[in-house]
Amino acid sequence: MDTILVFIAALVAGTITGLVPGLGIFGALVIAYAWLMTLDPFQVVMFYLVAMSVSQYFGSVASTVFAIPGEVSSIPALKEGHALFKRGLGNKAIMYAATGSFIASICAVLISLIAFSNIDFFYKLFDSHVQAVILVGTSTLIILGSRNKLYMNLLLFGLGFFLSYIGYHTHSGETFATFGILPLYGGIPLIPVVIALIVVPEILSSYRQAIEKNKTDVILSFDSYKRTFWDLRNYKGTLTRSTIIGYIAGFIPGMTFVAGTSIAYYVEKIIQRRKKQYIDNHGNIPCLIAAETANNAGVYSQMLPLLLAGIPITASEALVYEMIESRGIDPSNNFFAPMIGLLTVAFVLSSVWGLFAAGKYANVINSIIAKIDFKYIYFGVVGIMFIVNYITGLGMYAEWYYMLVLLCLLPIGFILRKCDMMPCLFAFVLSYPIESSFRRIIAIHFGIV
Amino acid sequence: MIKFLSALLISFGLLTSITTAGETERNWDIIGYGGPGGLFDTTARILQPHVGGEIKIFKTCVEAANYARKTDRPSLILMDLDEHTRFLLKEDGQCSFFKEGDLPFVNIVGEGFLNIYTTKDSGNDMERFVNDSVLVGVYEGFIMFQGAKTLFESINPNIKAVPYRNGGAIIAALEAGEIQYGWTSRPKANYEVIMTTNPEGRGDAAIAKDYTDSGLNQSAYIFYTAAANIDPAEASKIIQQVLESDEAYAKMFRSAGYSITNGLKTRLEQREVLEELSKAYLVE
Repeated sequence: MDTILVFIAALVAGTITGLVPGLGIFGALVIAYAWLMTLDPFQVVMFYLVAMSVSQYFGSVASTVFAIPGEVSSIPALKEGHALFKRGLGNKAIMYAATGSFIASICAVLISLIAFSNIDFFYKLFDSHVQAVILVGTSTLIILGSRNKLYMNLLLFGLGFFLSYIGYHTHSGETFATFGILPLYGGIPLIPVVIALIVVPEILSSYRQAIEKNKTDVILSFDSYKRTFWDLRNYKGTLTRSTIIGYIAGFIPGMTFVAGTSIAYYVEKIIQRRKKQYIDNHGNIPCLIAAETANNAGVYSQMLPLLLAGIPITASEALVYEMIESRGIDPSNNFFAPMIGLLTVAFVLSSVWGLFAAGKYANVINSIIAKIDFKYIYFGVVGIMFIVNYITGLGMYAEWYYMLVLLCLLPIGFILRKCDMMPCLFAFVLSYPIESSFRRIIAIHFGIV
Repeated sequence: MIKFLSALLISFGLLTSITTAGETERNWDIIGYGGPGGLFDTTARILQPHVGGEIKIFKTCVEAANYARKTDRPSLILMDLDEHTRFLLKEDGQCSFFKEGDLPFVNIVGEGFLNIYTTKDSGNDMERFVNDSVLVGVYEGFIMFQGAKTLFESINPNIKAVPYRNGGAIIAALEAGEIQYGWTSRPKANYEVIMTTNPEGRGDAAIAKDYTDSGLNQSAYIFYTAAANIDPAEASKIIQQVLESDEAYAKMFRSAGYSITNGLKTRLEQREVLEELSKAYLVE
């Protein structure tokens, strides 16, 4: 009974985490900490896995309808899904994304079952050299795959790197571009960057466009789910490719499904461009499916190093590990192994919930927004994003700093509103993993740091 | 007899009320970072019954620093010896671990001697560590990393220290075969400790001071408290009482492989320890 209640709480937490930008699964774990400490270790791990799985479904709905990214991995859904939504294809986008995500979740479980005895191959694969190759490859894909001219993509990538580099660097004990201003020591936070450089430009470019009413025959109903499953056979190449990319990338320490989502999305974008089927700002179903599929496959595979070898490869997993260890339990070795079966059942059930609840949620949202001029909704979204930025800053005791960073970045977002800002955002996110993997390689080969 | 018992009861009542009043009047918050269940969180929970107030554990040192600068509440701030400390104390350009005029140093609350560990039965023993060209994963923080690098080079110039973001990343690299050893104050149970900086030893592990004369051969991961809006001498006295008397505290650190040694030292002596350590890290 207790486990069922924890499962339900995780569904709620995942839903909220997916809808609220900036909250993230780490934040949800911190908020629920006092309660989680009263649970047994299996329930703690289940809470984490289920909440993370569900948040991916709801994150893509919020991105598609409102252009609100729940987290960085939802940005491709924002770019493609919201463009489809503006063309009256929102239901189709939501349905395809949710169904693709569900298929990927099930496939990730099946791959793990088949490869169970050799799963250590995957997490032993990602040493610093492989990580560096993947991260540089991902950056190259992003630079080549974004719609701007090449030099612009390089400049935007440089801008993202520059912004992420501001602050105090733990490894060198030195600061960069802080000018003695104390809050800058902590660096530029992600939330104002996403709002100023991604969300606001997206809304500025969408604002003048009329939002078309839903014009597809896809209704978010059980029959539609069946039909979408059937229709997805036309995208089996995309599904297979992205599931494999997402699954393997889920093992990359520190990057996991964020890397998988970016790689799968840009690989698909380049393929669609070559087929001359990609139109900028038009929304592309295969690209959307690729991103969402890779996302969910990675959510499951990223848990396996922790479950099978007691190796936490993300900050959230490290937190779960600490929670268990602080009770005097050693979570390494085979501690989690007996739980894998039940955890997998919980993961599959959460995927079923995500598949249907996200559709139901989208139905409710559709019926409400059908009565409102979407321009007002855009105003509301901008207002909500400012509030979210303020509240996130409040949580860091730096609310005015967050607002100031947002205000300083907004002119850049406005000036560059016609550009695809994805290279800038991904450079911001990838800069630390790229830099640290190269630092390790240099230390390994030359002993210099 | 009745009078005596009455007097005894009254005295006991008065004493209890004075003690209780003292405890409730002391309403100091404890600020730390590093996530729930972590070292600072656990330390804060043990200190809290003795100092009252709330525990505020932040995700990062940046949040903790932001809060510590702003609060007008009497607060104890948990710190460690790495760059977080310098950041928190605004000492960006030099390695002075505390600054009386800003957030004054209170008391060392624990120290964990550092250990070289490796995968069991991997053949990566002390002989290999001393003679071969090997790679050791170390937390990338500036002071911790530079200290480790200096110590390793004094034992074997062919050792290369490789920087990682946290203990989890070091374990992942160890399992992937990228490095042969890890460096930590808190080794996991399923790994084998082959060398320790604890002069009293740790199981069968070699003792660092037998292999090097470096000033870092007894280096430890030290964490301590600073104060905001509190008299540091008074706070130090209370913390020393906790260190001496609280069994839970000692048990927690010993079970995690830490040592606590500073409960009996004066603040001045502790300050000297930190200053010496800071010199050893930077000068060598």
